[in-house]
Amino acid sequence: MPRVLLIEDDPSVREGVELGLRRRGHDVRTAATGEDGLAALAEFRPDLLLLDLMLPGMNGVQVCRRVRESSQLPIIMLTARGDDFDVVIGLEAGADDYIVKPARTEVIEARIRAVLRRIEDPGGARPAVEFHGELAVDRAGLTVAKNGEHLALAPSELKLLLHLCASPEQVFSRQQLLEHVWEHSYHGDARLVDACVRRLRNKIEDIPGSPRYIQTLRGFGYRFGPLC
Amino acid sequence: MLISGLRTRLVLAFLLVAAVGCGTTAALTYREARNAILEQAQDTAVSSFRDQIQELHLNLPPNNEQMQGMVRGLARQGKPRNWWVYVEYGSVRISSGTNPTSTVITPELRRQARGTPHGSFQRVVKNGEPYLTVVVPVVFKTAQTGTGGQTVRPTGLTFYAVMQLTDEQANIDAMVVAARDGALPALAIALVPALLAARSVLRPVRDLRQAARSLGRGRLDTRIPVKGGGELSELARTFNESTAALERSVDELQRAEARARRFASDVSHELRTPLAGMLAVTELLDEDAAGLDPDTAAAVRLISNETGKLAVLVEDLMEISRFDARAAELNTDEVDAAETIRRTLQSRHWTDPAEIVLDLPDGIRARLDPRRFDVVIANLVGNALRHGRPPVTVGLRAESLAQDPADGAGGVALWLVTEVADRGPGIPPDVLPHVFDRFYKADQARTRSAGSGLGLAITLENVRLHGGTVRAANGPDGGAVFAVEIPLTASEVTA
Amino acid sequence: MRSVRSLALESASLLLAGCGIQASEVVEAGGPAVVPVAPDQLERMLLFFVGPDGRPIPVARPLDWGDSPPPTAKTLAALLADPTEEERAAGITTRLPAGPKQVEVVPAAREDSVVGQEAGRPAGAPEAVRVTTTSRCRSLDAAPLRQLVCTTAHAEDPEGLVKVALTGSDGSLLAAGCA
Repeated sequence: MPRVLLIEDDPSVREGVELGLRRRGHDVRTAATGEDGLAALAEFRPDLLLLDLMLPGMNGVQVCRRVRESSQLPIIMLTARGDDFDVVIGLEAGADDYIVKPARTEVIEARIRAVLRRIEDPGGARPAVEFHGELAVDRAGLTVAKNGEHLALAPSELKLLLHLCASPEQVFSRQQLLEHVWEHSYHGDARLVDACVRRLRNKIEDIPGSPRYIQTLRGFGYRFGPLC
Repeated sequence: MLISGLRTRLVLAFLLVAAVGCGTTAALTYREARNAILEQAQDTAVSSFRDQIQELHLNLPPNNEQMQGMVRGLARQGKPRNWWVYVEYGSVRISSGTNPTSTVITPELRRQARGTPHGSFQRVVKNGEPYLTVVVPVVFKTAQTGTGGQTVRPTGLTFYAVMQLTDEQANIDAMVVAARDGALPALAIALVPALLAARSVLRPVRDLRQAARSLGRGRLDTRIPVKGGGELSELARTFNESTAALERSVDELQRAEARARRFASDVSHELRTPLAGMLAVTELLDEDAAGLDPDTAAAVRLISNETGKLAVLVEDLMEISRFDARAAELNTDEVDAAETIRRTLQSRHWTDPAEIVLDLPDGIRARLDPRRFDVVIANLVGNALRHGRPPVTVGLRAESLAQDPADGAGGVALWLVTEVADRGPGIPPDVLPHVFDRFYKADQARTRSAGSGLGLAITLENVRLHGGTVRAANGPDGGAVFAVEIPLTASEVTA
Repeated sequence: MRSVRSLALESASLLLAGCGIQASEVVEAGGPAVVPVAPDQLERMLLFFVGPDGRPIPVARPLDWGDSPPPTAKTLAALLADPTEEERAAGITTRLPAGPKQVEVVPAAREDSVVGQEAGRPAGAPEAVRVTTTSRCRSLDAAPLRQLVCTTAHAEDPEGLVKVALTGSDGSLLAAGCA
């Protein structure tokens, strides 16, 4: 069962979520502040971080950035709807998904599972490593290298890249990507996709302003390539 | 005749005053001038006639030849212009003309000449021609010439002179013409200051009108510059005071409303955090309820259920608060409208063809916020399923509608029209205007339904955020019909 | 508005009524014409006859060359005789009764006393000329009486200011002046 680190300042939320998740079999550790959470991170070594954005002292976005400096740990933000601006900043900072409070435990758990779920191998006679331009994508090892150099991709970025490059030149609408990569509903928040695409481009494109690998089709969505 | 328009009335009044002024002045001046002209003519005529008579020498009685000579001599000397001269002595009548007596001289003048030893004149108009008739009786001194005797006795001789006043008539006519020719241009010129005066008088009125209009558009900080004193600036001052008072009370109302909204928002915020904790553990309660004694189990399940509902209510309140604070964001994406609706119904498992009938043509692409459009459709269909009777029909079409002129653009534009109709009893007419009101209860005794009471209000706000409208009506065969119209641009139809 | 309208009406009527030249009343303007009469006072006999309208008309008859002014009685005699042909042609008549008359004149200067009615007059005041005629005079009209009085007054005095007391066959009259 996954190990979850929950950083949440409100004791009732902290306790409620901890209770709910523990009942579902998760190994939960909690922290009340960002500083405590970062300290627990090294020691607890969680599989996933549930991070409240509104924290006293060091806030959630800062914690998220600090984590991303050294780790591709899956991060799910806990937000209150209406804190839209914070959501975008949190996503830009590297969070993989977000959950709006208040939420039932089943919703939280579904998100945790979705983020942790591996992209299913399309199977067949594909080679272990695919080459797309300068990118080398290892579907089995879940690593991506550019010009032989390993790229540190967050789980959502990796899954998005794997999904797109599995069908090069096919256009995916943002709703489709939300459903397949994030396992959200069709009507989910498309900003998740946009923020993730931006982050991914910053890592894999030569010039993020004029992307080669992940191209935008205005009014329709995104596609991988064509590379020429 | 009704003269409307302040400007017309002001100008007319001004012109009337100018005309009366001009006319009165002209009339008085004319009268004075005419009298002066006539007096001048009369006095000159009487005195020169008398002077000429006094040049004469008389025998008593004078004989006819002598009198004839005198009359002719006087007629010749006629100054300043020709006159006819008549003399009467005893029964003798002699004139310088063809008739021995004049028809112009009146009996009153004759009586006057006989009655008093004075020269007299009278103006007579005969056959439209003005005449001046003059009478001078002749007297003589009884004492020896040069002795300074005072006694005079009438000689019985009376001279009459008759002259036409044609020159004077011409002068006076010329004066009338001059007065008229002067007055008409003067009136025309008076029109200019009249218009200017009307303008200056009406400028505050115009300012006031513009200010009132601006006020009507909601600009409550409108003020009129108050210049000088007088009634109009009093009016402006009153207007300003009233506007200031209005602004103050509207401000107060708005502040009160803002306070109320902030309060609702704050309350929701504060409720959210404890709810987050409670909601996270409802599952736990539900699962463990089975192991408790029945009463405790029922109580636990009640708490769990109501916590869920409370969470929905608080979420909806938060959403409404964001609309009120204009903090709601529209995150649009170009989507296939039919697909979006289908997905909404699927995700809520409203897929039974006995319950939901779809008329969703593919290929209408619209720029929508999918999450908000999902809320709109879900609320309308959910509402139809809850209050109407199946089957609920969901229709979609692109339609050319005359644009609301208030938008300013005018003309015709393409709209995305989504209709949700049910087969229920419809909406009572007295409820119809209120269906989008918050927490509106058609039936005061109605028990709380599954919805928060904010569903349709949130629907309305979401549609408005898209620049569209939503209308509730009753269909031709009964049942409520909700129509959502959201603007499209023509390029977005790719069917 | 009402007063403005009436004002306009008034001024309009004033303007219209005052147009052009109107007929007027008879207006006195200065005195009569004073004319010298020939022959002059010393060379004429001034008799007052009556015009066709009943008003007195003076007639100045020249005296014969070299004659001094005649006595009043002679002048009255000329008056009592009828107007000349020429005078009658001009419509001059006399209202005095016809028939032979005798006239006696007592000049004022020679009279010591006046009639009783004049007794109260202050001393030194002009006195009346007494004229006695054989014809009647009390029953005469104003016109013939004025003929007698004026002719007598002007014969006695160039200014004609003396009073004349008439006595006729039917009695006396109060002294009167030529007005």
